[in-house]
Amino acid sequence: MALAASGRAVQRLGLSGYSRVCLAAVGLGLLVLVYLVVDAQATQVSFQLGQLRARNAQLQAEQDQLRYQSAQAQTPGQVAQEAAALGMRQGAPTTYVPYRPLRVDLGAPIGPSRPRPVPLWQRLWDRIFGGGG
Amino acid sequence: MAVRSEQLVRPWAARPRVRVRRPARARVLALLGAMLLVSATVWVRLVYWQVLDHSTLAALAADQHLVELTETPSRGLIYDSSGRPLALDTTVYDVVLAADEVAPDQRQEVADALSAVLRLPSGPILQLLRSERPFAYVAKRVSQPQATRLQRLQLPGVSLEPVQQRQYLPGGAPGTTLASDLLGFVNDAGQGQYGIEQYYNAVLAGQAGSVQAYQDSAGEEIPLTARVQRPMVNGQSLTLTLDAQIQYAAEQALAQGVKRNHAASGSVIVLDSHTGGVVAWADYPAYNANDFAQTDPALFQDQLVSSLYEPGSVMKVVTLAGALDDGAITPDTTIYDPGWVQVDGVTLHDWTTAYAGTVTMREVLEQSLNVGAVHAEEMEGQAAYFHYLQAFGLERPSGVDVAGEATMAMPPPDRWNPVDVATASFGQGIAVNMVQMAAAVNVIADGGRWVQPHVVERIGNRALTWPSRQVVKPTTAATMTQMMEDVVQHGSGWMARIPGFQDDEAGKTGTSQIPVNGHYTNQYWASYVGFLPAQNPRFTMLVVVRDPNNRSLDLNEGYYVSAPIWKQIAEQIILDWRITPPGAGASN
Repeated sequence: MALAASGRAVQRLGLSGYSRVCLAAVGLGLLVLVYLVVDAQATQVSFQLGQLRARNAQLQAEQDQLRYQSAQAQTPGQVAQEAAALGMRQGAPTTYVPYRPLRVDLGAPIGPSRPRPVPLWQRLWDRIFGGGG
Repeated sequence: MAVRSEQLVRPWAARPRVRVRRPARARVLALLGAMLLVSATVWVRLVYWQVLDHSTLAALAADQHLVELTETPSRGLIYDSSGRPLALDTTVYDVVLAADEVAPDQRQEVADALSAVLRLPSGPILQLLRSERPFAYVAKRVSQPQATRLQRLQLPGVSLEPVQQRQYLPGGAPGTTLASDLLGFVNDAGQGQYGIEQYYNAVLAGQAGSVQAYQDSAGEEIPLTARVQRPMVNGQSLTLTLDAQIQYAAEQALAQGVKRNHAASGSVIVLDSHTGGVVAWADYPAYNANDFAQTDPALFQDQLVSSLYEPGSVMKVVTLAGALDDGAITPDTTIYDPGWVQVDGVTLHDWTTAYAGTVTMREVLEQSLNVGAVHAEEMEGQAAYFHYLQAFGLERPSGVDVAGEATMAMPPPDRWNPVDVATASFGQGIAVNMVQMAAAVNVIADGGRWVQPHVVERIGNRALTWPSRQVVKPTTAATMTQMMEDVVQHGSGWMARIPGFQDDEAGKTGTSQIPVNGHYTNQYWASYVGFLPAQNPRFTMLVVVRDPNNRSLDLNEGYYVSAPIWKQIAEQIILDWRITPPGAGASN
């Protein structure tokens, strides 16, 4: 159907046999060119993909290495060593004392206790002879 | 349509007829025949190639163009209970040399460069270069910084092959890796060996995948053409119940304890009292799993699970708990102990061989009297005694998820003679592994419930569940706990007393002779087992030291050798887990 249509189009254009051959050759050439372009792109993408994979593997390896170094740095032994190098010393172990309930007088007035009133004669005595607080 | 066909036919019709002479006709026919023959030959050959021999030729072509690649899965990591990595993979490199690709005038330069980076003598490398072999390993498992230096040099004929290598962290004792006996290691073939690495190898290793792809003229894969044949499955990570801090402290304390007592070896296991999860698992001597190839293979055998030992007086916990649960005794049941007992014509002695007189069962445990244990077993009866041995999990493997568990197959009850049963009651003549024994004592700590000792808490994100069963009544466990508290407060466990916890600490010492070639020797297993806080236990710990040599029988006993190690580790656990005794305040 399509061939018949293109044939009719060629007839309408009034192309000679030579022109038809040239047209077919150009068409074929274009197809080859498109194929080459696509193929070259595929090759390039493929190459880039390979490069990215290699880079990914390298980064993965670096990440693994860093993870190992990080884990090493956090081991109890390493922490103790670093602490000792910084001059830290292990504190005295916690000691536990038996719990004794506090006897709180809830009825007592809140706040500091008021000063005991000092009699006048004692204040005078203190002033003349010294003493007291 | 008819007109068009007429137009097409007409030029032929108009063509003048050519008269062909006979000789010419014969020649044409001959030529035609020859052409037919040639074309037929070609066609036959084509049919042969395209149809009959198609599969062979297609396979040959595929061999040239297609390449089958194996995708190596990454091995799962191993974490402790807090998510700290214990075993992880790093990438190292094998250095490969194609000597035939190196020009003769470049050989010296390549050899010198490889020698400088890899710290190898240049002579053998030069010899390798002169051999012109297309493939040879120069060095295996080279570190990443070295590999990067080599890559920068871009040496002709030198390439790097990445390989995964398992790495473990430094342990509590010098020259060892953390939990080496528990974790095991991964060999050069990627197979887990010993411990967790072997037991969970299938889970950790994952499944290799395969990919088919076209290759270019240089033999390199063309990524866009890759087709997955079998999908790769990465290994799953494991989260253990182990606490790296406690593990480190246990390794340190054990190494110090073994050295201090001039012992042959030692082992420690710490269990979470309620879940049965292993919190610490240490052996001394241990090994460096990063350097397994240079390690004495005898060190690979895990003393905790792959060796059997006679538990000694620690077994009295099981004997008395069974007798209590059975109703055969109470803590105040009295027996007469002259220091020895005769069973079936054989005299069995107390450890001290001294006269003890009339003692209660509470005192039997406090003073670790063998005669009392024998009487308790006899009051209970042989059948009930065996029932409790089974219930406490001593006649079958503990089922702990570590490779290489060893257990002794116990003979049926009717094949035991009375002397064997009597000695078993105080832990001689019966061999168990240390995991079994720790799990058995943990029954008392966990309210009479036996919980499966285990190491792995989660595979990936999936939490594992482990079996448990009620073994003795909770009231029996509570009574036994009080009796074990008395051991610490008034008896042989005094060296394990921790200030602040002395009223809430349960323990039992054990000392047993090591049999060699069927005879008991003057070598001992000194052990101590206990749990803390006694009234609400957080952990159960067993310490066993093999063949201490303090030049005194008394100083080779469990109370002197193992109890201080137990105490040292327990103090660290108290600190790390912030355990406080009930009704106590802390002061610094």
